[in-house]
Amino acid sequence: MKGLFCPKSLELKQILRTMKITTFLLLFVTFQAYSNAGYSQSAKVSIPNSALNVSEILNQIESQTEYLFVYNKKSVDVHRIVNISANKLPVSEILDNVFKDTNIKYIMEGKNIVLTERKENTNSDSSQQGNIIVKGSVTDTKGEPIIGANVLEKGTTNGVITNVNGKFSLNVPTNATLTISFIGYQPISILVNGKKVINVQMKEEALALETVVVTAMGIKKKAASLTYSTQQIGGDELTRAKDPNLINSLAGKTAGVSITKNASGLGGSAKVSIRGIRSANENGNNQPLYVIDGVPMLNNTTEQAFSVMGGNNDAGNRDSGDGISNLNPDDIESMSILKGASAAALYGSQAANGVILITTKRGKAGMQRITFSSNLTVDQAISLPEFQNTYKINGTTSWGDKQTDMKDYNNVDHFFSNGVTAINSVSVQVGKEKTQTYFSYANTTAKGIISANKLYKHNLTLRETGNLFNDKLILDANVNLITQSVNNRPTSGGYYMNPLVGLYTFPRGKDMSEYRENYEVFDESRNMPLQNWYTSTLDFEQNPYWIVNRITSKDKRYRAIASLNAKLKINDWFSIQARGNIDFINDKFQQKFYAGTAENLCHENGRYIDLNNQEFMAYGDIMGMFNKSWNDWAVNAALGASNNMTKTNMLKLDSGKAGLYYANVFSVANMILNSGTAYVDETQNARRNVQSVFATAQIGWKESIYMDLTARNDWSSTLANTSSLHSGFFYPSVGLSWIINKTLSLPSWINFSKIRASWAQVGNDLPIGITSPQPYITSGGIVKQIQYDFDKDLKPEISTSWEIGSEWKFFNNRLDLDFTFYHTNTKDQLLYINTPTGSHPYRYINAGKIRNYGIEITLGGTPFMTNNFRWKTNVNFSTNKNKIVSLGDNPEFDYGTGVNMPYRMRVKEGGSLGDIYGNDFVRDENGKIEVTETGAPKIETGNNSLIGNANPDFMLGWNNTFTYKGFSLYVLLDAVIGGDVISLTQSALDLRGVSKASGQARDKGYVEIEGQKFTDVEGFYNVVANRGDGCTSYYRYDRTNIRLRELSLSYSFPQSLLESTKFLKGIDVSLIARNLFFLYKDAPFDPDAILSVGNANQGVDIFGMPTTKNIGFNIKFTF
Amino acid sequence: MKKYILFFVLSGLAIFSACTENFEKYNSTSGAYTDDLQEYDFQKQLIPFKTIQTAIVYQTGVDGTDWQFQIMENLAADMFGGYFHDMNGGFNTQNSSYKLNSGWVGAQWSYTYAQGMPPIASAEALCSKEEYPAFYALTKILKVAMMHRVCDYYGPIIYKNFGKDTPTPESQEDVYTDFFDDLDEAIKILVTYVADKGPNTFESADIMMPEGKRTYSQWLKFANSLRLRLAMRVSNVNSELAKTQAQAALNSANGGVLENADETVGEYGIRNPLGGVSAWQEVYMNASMESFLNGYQDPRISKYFSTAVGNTGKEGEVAELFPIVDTYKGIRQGTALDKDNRYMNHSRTTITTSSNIIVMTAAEVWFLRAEAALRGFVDTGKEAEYYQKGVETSFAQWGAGDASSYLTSEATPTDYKDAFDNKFDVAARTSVTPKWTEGTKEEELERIITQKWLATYPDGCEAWAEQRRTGYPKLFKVAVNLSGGAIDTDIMIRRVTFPTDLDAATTSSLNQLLGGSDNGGTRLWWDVGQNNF
Repeated sequence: MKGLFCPKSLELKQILRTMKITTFLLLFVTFQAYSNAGYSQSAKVSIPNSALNVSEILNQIESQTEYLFVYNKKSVDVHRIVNISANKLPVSEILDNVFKDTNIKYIMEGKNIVLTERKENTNSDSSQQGNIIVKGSVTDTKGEPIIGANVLEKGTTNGVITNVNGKFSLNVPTNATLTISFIGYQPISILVNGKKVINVQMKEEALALETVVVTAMGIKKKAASLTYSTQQIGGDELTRAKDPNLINSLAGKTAGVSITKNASGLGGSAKVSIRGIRSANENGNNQPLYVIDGVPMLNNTTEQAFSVMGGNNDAGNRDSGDGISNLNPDDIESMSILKGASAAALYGSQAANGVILITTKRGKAGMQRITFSSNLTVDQAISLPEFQNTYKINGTTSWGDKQTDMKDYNNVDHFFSNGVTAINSVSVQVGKEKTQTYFSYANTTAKGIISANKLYKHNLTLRETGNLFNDKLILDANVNLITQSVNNRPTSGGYYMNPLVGLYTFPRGKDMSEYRENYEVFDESRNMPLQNWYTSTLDFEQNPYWIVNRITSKDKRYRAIASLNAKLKINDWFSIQARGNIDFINDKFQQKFYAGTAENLCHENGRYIDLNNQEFMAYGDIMGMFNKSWNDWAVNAALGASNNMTKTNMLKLDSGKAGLYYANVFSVANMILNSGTAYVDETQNARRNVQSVFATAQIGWKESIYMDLTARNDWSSTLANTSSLHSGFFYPSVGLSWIINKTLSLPSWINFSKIRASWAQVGNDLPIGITSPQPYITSGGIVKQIQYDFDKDLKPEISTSWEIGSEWKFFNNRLDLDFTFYHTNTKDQLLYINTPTGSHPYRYINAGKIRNYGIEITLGGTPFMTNNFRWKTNVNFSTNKNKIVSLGDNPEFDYGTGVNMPYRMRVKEGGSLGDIYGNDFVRDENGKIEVTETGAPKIETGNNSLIGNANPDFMLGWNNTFTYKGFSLYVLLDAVIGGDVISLTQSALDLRGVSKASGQARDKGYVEIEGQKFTDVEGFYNVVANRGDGCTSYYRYDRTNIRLRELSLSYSFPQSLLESTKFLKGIDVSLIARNLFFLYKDAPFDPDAILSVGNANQGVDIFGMPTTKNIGFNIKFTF
Repeated sequence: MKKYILFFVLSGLAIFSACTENFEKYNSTSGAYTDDLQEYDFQKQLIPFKTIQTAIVYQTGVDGTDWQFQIMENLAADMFGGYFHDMNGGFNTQNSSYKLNSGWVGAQWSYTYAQGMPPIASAEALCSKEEYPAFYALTKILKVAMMHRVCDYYGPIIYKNFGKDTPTPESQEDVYTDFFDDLDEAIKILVTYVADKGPNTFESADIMMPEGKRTYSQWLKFANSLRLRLAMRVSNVNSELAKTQAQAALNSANGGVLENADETVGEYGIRNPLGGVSAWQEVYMNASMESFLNGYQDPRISKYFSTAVGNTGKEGEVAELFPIVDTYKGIRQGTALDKDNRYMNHSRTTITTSSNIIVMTAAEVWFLRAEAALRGFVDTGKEAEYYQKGVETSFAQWGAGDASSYLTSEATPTDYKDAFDNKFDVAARTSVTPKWTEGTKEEELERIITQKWLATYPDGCEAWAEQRRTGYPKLFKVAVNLSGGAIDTDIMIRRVTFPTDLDAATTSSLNQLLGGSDNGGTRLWWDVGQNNF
């Protein structure tokens, strides 16, 4: 914890500064919001100090607001003169003043203000005779006050509206009935029956009727009617224990969705895989489509790990980050995961990998809420390798003599420090009847476990919703501005430019401090400081402190997302909606390698990488929506068209080994780019245009049987020069569901029962430009010829899938079960086949078939419930089997050939995607490992043995919420069972004799494998841990791990306590932890931290950054 | 109202679904070097040649990495031919010890077919014999220069049928017939073209002839020299064919052969990948080179290799049995020591990334002529004279001074002593001297080929092919053989295995044409196991 609370710490200063800024913003916004008050009363009127008659005052109000007065002239004396002075006063306040001490009262009904005569006398006598004053408050289901709700004595015009605190006070007969109503909420009637205090909680209309979920294209449907499985995630799941990449918060919470994060430190990209991998292509797209409020967003990862050895052009492996990590979790109201093709079918050629629909927060009519939340976590490295501490240095290895009193210098612990992540956010939700506003600002400041690694992120969101023309037209505009900087993002693994290589392999019993303090020494011949390390720094191994301080990088992203949605309600059952958005990302990446960096990877004058990347997306759609019921029938249909254009411009300049003219001058002009060893990667105007028409209809009968049909035709520009350019591709789906309990009478303990089935066909669009190959020029003026040709019938990968499922609710909804079986065949795999005998060395074809099938089960319940205590629990289970059914007539192919490491991923007919190949022991017919004359095991090299598969057999998530009064304890256990991972880190550490395993083997005098003993320990490791030709199977571990993924203990301060503060509506404090510990783990690293979010480089750890556990607190104020 | 809405939506859809005409533009990124732009300056015809010329001694250029060359040649022919050895411990148990790494040995095929053959196919398509006769001829010459290296690695390959719908492989015998046919056709075209004083249209794209000699008549000399090289290659298996081809090659009416030290055919002005691999400290002197060069006190030794650094006292070094500092010290093939990189302080090559890449030298041609004379194909009896020319030309080419004392030297190769472990010590296998002495034809051939081997440095492909054909020079055998019986230690490696990523039909056809197991022990067609005199 050293440094964390030390005032000298830069991070703390940064956090304090951030908090100051947020506090200021908070106060500013609070002030703004207060001056804006609540909805009905918020229309402000100014009347200069004067004496006016009532009629003139009413006219003034009518002219300054949209209100119209309705009254009987006989009962209201409009000529009465009133002294008035109003400067931006709410209407209600003026009216209170005008009709003070009269028998006139007013009630607001929508735009009308009705003035009526009180039937009763206002004197105290009558109240004693049978009237009482009823006081109370009106809140929503979350306990938030509802401002401006109408409280009316039933059958009369006697009524009031609630004030800013949701409070009301009304004089009514003791036996009266109160009717409480508010737009969007279910009205409530309550018998007064002499009660003086009546507190009412109103339910939202939709909620009250039935759960409504957002489905494809943003169409809302009743949850009960769906013919496929979706999963809803509340926004609180993302904010309970925040992660700099919000999607990581979903890990373990959804059946069938696997979320793993890149081992590249703060804000790294995430691999989200829904119901298995479908595309076999090395660069294939297997990530879901993200849709925000009905419009898609960019989520590209421009760069991922190049190989297990190192990055592109001998740089370090780089994780460029992804799109989803940019969002502010506080802005998210809910997420809806469309897992299967049926659910996502309406997205056609983008739907193959599922869709994640994000609904963001908006202002609500009658609501005024400000929340401020602050989240601070301390991140600590876990799953670090284990080292021996008994055997001395010998050469550069630790295969030396035994020394029992050897000092443990803890060089590794010294290198990592505690990371700190602070996320502060403020949001304002405020709404009048006509316009609603949502504003938020979030600031993320984080320091990684390598202290040079920093992340700064700012999110600003403004959303404005307006209802115009008598609520006929709804306009909804949303602007998101994001800036993010990541300094010195660590490599996700590999040997190149990776500080962990030198750090972990440093000889035991030696103190690294000399090299920590002097990572560079002055070189007289060059008159400059150069790298200092105990051994050669030609390529792989360098001083870790040199890498951290002298190979520096900065990733900067500016992003703007703006969207507009207009919905015109033609009548009760038909409306037209038009939506559009633009998403613009500007990335800049600069990496500086100082002179003195490994000479095989860097020029003697240093190396510089300068990358600029712009991605732009413009999307627009128009939809006609039809929603009507007749007798037993209900139809919910939509017909629409959309146009989606994305454009990428990228320029990467990498001086590579061609170098710099002058040492350590990091500018483009100083780069030597005129040779082939420099690397220029240029993408100019790479565009994708997808034009679509689509239609969907849901037909319901007696609210018990529903049929869903969707159809979409996509025309994609990526089909240029193919035979399907003009016809495009058609993607249909059909589904059926039957709510049994509405048709048959079931035992009373069954509350809900449904079966469903659906079928769909969707696509995975071609990559941009592959059907328009062109020669281009690379650095040094080298003409890069077209390397491939392609089948003229090239088409998207087509997934045909079906699923069946069933949902049940029992015992007054205290137990629920959801079961799904799905099956997907993805044919026409896009293969880049080697044609070593053809006129081009490669060819793109569609061939082969990948099958995925599996089951998903979620089981939820409330096993225990008393007045104060409640235990809610939910288990989700999923399994997926993947099979490469065929590859056409093509031979197997590898991901990542040409790298001299005992690791390959191979796609082979009969195998599964994620299969890892490598070297294995040579065994005799009895399974005994054969040995060489020196007693070392024999190894079959060439990477032709199937070692395992990176994908798990099944996944299990178990979350529990225990609530007791204001306390709430949330525990999420996440289990990944089965699958295999390889640790080439362990192999490298064994080879160098620094690992604990190698020490223990020496203590024992042998290495034992299945009863077979190898007594030459060093000789054994020299063979099995050989970098190029080692025994992969010896370093295979079970991926199975069970971890305490998320833990939070929160406390909400009781309302009674807060009321006295007048302005605070809620305080929630919580202690949070993520990744606290493993209940079980076989691998010497976190097997869910990955080298790449792409298809290649899976299931292998090669000096990846250690996973962190995160412990901290979260505090949230609501005003 | 309803009608209007429906009309509005439907017409909207109709408009939408009709805009695919821009798709081709959208799908093509800007900044490409399109066909239209390639028309300027005849680049369309010339560009393929830029790639072809760099694909003979493989240089990707684009990726700027050298490991492709390393696995194609440096960890195979360069070592099997006795020139180099890698110090990398991790590599010593693979090709070096005859346990062929399939990913490496398939690379000569994979990368040549990927990089070199497609532009040849496009050059053939773009430059017809009628329209661009000179370009057509160059394509043929380059194709042979490139593909005989591949053919000499594996045996049967795809040559004539490349780029066709059914790219059927051919036996090595058929491929060699095609080589001679192609060279014959090219030579005839160029002879006419030069005689007709056709314009010198290739100069701007030429990187293979030395500057100042970028003419078609120089290309003609190269074509004849290449023909002579291939003629001698088949001399043991088909002496008649060899004779016919050698006579055609040396027929002065066909334009002559390379004769002078300044006529080295190479790949000029581009990065030398051998230098790139050497920069990784992975190109060391082979023990056989040490034995001959040291034994002969060959002045070229300092041009070829740097002296050993020896133990520097750094941690991790293995102690030397005797000091090697400042001596020329090589590494024996097949030491199979993968514990450490103990040989990293031995002698390294002097070749750097800026050294010229050598494809063919005049010295080699003199030795080929010596052999042709020895075999009685042409100029019978002139073998001693041509041998002497060969040595002198090589000395001149490397700036190694006067060769006269060398040519009278009776020095013999030295025994090899391993610097760390005497179990790898081995005695020299021959006592052949630089000095020409009359002897049997076999003895004379050994002398010619041994000196040719010293002169063709660092072209491992040619060295290994000729060593297999003739058995010379007498290289040290592998110390440890891990081939599992596939390769006999005494017979030594004869070829490498086909790449594993070929389609099944091609693989089975190749295996059939090979006529033996697809391993390193099977002899190629021209490798008959003895010299026929």
